[in-house]
Amino acid sequence: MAKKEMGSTSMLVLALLKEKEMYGYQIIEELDRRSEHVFQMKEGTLYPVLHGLEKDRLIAAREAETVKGRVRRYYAVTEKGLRVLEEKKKEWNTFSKAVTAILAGA
Amino acid sequence: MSEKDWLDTATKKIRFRPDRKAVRRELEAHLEDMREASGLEEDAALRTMGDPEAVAEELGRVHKPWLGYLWRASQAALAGAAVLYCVMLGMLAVRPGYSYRVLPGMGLYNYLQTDVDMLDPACVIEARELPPGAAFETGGYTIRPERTVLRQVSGTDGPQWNLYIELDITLSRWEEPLDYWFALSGVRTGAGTPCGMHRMSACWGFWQKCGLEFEGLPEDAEWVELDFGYGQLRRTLHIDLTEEAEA
Repeated sequence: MAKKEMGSTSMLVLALLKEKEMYGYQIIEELDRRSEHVFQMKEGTLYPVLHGLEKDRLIAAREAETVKGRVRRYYAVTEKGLRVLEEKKKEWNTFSKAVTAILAGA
Repeated sequence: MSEKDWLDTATKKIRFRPDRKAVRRELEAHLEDMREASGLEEDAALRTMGDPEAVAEELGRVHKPWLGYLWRASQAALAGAAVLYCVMLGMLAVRPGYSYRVLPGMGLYNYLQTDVDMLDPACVIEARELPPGAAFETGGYTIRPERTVLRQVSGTDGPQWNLYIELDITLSRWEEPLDYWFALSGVRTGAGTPCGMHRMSACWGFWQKCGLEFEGLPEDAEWVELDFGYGQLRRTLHIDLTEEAEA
């Protein structure tokens, strides 16, 4: 995934993973909780995004087995991922301010 | 649609098998997590996961097969280089005394004793260094006698004369299969009596040293001839027992 093509889903995922490493199901739950049910992401959307970010080395994965013997993949942000996240945040803030300014006059 | 069908469909466009298995495992764990946390039935859980065909499209786009195969190829190349390095190291490790070496085709290290000096000096009554003899070629190999020692040792049946020969063997061209090229096809002594061969270390590889020792040489023998190889490959190494090596 090229930087320019990176969508808002990727940005949200990176922002969540910046705090702590998480596995797929946890990411969906956390997004849902924090956005107060606005972002209810489908698994079909999340995993291609996660794997794309991993391929671009913005996040890294490790596998760990749960006590029940379930193998989970935990994702964490890389240095490169943190840099991209910062850029994306700046872009988003500019965009958001612009939209707010226009809507304020409507 | 069963869980198995959903997972099969969702991962069907990931061409690289190890990737496909890993993603399938991840999605399977996700489903289990979800059902455990929400208490949803299989059908409802699968609906939450989304349309497997659409998931397959997206995953197929991210997991390009050539990347996986390229990774595999680079790993194989690296492994090949490591093996080659070990083989070379094994060859270089060969030196007089106890040494380890690689046996091509067997992948094992062999324990060899190739040093004339390993014999307890107390058993040696007399020792004499001889001119090692001329190098010769056979079957693509160059065989260079490096050291030849004639010595009288105290054996269980009384004193006897032994001959020790240390050979350096180099593969210069690949001409004949290794099988039997190096077999000693004959040993003759100047006194007309063949002597018994006491020890011959295995001689394989592209470069190595090899120690041969012959026991019970006739006392009046003036020379020893060793024939290496058979037929057209046969070469004779002549060792004069009456000469002394240059100091």
